[in-house]
Formats: sequence, C-alpha cells, structure tokens
Amino acid sequence: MKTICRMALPGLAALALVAFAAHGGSNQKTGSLKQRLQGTWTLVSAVLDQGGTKSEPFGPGPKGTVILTSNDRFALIITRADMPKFASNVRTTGTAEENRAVVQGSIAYFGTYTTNDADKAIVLRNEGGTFPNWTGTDQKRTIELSGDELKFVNPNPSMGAGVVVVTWKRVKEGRATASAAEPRQ
Amino acid sequence: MKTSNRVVLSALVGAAFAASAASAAGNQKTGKLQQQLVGTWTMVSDTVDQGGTKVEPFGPSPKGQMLLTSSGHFSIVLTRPDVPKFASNSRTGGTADENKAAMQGGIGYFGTYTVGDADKTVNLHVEASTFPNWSGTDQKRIVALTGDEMTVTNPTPSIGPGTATLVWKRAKDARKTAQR
Repeated sequence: MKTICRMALPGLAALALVAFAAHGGSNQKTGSLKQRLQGTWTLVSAVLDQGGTKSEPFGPGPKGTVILTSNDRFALIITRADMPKFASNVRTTGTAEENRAVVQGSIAYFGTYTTNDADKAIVLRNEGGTFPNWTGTDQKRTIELSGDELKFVNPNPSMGAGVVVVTWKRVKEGRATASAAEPRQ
Repeated sequence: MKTSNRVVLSALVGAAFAASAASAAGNQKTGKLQQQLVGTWTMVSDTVDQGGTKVEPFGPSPKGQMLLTSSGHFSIVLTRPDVPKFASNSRTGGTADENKAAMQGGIGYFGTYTVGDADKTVNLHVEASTFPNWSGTDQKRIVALTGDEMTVTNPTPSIGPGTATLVWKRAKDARKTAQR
C-alpha cells in the first residue's frame, strides 16, 4: 500500500503541474483557432479596399482593441484618433456635427463569438453596440494569423461596399502595456 | 531520505492543486480586489441620481458588458437596445436624428485599469472612447462587490451632473448569458 502511494504521488504531482501549466498558457502557436485568438489585441490599422481604391475609414493612427475571452465573449472598439471633443463636455448634448463625427468615426460592440477552424473564420454574435443595425446580427470575419499579428477580413463593412482588413497586434505580457492574458471566468 | 521525498512530493501536489484551484475559482471572497474583479460582467442597470431625480441614461433595459482582464486591460460598452436602426444601413450614412440617438444611446471605451484596495476603487485609464472627451482621461469608480454582483459608483457621469450607479452581474457562462 505504501509502495502504491509512493508510485502514485509523483504521477499526481506531474499531472497537477501539467494541468496548471496548460491552464496558464495563452499564446500557443499550435492548437485550435479559438485558443490562438484568445487574449487582448490592439489595433494596428483598418484599411478599406473599394475595387482597388484604398482608404482608412478610421483615419490615420486609429485606436482600438478587441478582447476575446476563454469563456466565448468578446468586445471590440475602434475609434478615430482625431474626433473633436464635445464643447458641452456632455455626451448627450453634442451638436449635429459632433454627433456625426463620433458615429462616423467609431464603433463599439460586444457579445459572444465562435470560431471555425476549417474555414479560418470567427463569427462575432453582436449583443449590443453603438451601430444599431448590427445589434442581434452575426458578423463573420475571415482570420489571418501570423505570429502576434491578427487580421480580420470583413466583406460587409459597416460603412457600406468594399472589403475592410483590420490588423491587430497581440498585447505582450506586462502590467504597463497590459497583456494577452484572458479574463478569468 | 525516502520519507523526505514523500514529504516534498506531497507538498508539491498540494501546492500545484491549490494553485490550479485558485486560478480556476472565479468568485473568491478573499484576496486582492483585482482578483475579485477580473472577468466578464453583464450590465443589469444604470441609474443616474441628479439631485433626487433619477434617470436611466440607457433606458429601462440597458445592454452592456465590461471585461476586466488579469493583465490590467478593460473594455466597456453600454447601449440602449432601442436605438433606431439607420435607414441607410450604413454607419456613415446616418441622419442627424439617427446619429443623435446612437450617440445618446451608446458608449464604448477601453484602456488599462488599476485598483485601489484601500479605498475600493478602480481607476480606468481611458485610451480611447466613443465619447471623445473621455479619451486620455482617468475615470475613477468606487466598487462594491456582493457575491456575483458588482455595484460601480461614478460621481462624474458622461451625461453631466449627478452620480451614476451601475449594477453588473458576473457572466457565468457565455452560452447561457447569450440567451438573455
């Protein structure tokens, strides 16, 4: 009996350590698409291609983030860097010009997501957001992953015809810049 | 020697399981405030008290989500579910009324956050927001946790004077909350 205990213990210890290590890993190069997408990503660029004519729908140097959690939830926010502040300093009393600049210069939405390894796609199930037409819809994006760079290819952008390629960069570990860690469930 | 090996192994097993359990547990009653806050939160209500008059800036059934990551990132999106859809179906083709309803009925912001254990506060360092006046600012909030419910008090709401009280519920499982 004692021998069995002695044999079992190292095995248990190894199992426990392996399980713990696997739980902590968040930046696999291999594994399912979902595992590789989980984490915090910061916006690099958003480019709209309309039949060869390229433009930046959120202007130069846009700000944004997408967070993909291990419990299937996401939040995505993109804004122009140069939206004018509201003179009133109150969100609900913007002028027509101020409101327009924000609505045309930003988007934010959240919900749940699923991934499809076969066609390298992510489906963002929109539960709510700042563009009402997308609420309750599924937004499918084709995924291109290369190291710490992620591209969302969107053939149905919110500003109309064309194809938008949104490029994200994985946020590195580290408190100051904040990292790729997943929200705990 | 064999005895000490066994002792070491037992300790290792214990430590490994304890660490694993701690990282999996989502609702500790003890520990630093940040550990209790990390996760996915779904908005229950948002009420602004303007000197006794209470208003719900996102309506009676707001939709919202707050993500607080263990790495110190946050993302918050709050919306009214009854903002009218744009007739053009294009975000950049809204009328003045459509833009106004969308602007007044939604907000998104993100950045990094720090936690004050002593005064039970969260300081949101806003990198960017759909309300441009908040971009680059720090938004300090007082938090109170009761089980899976978090109450966030904001003395400087984006709709002007008053004190906003936001109630959040921890999202347990995406498949269940998605059906809400």
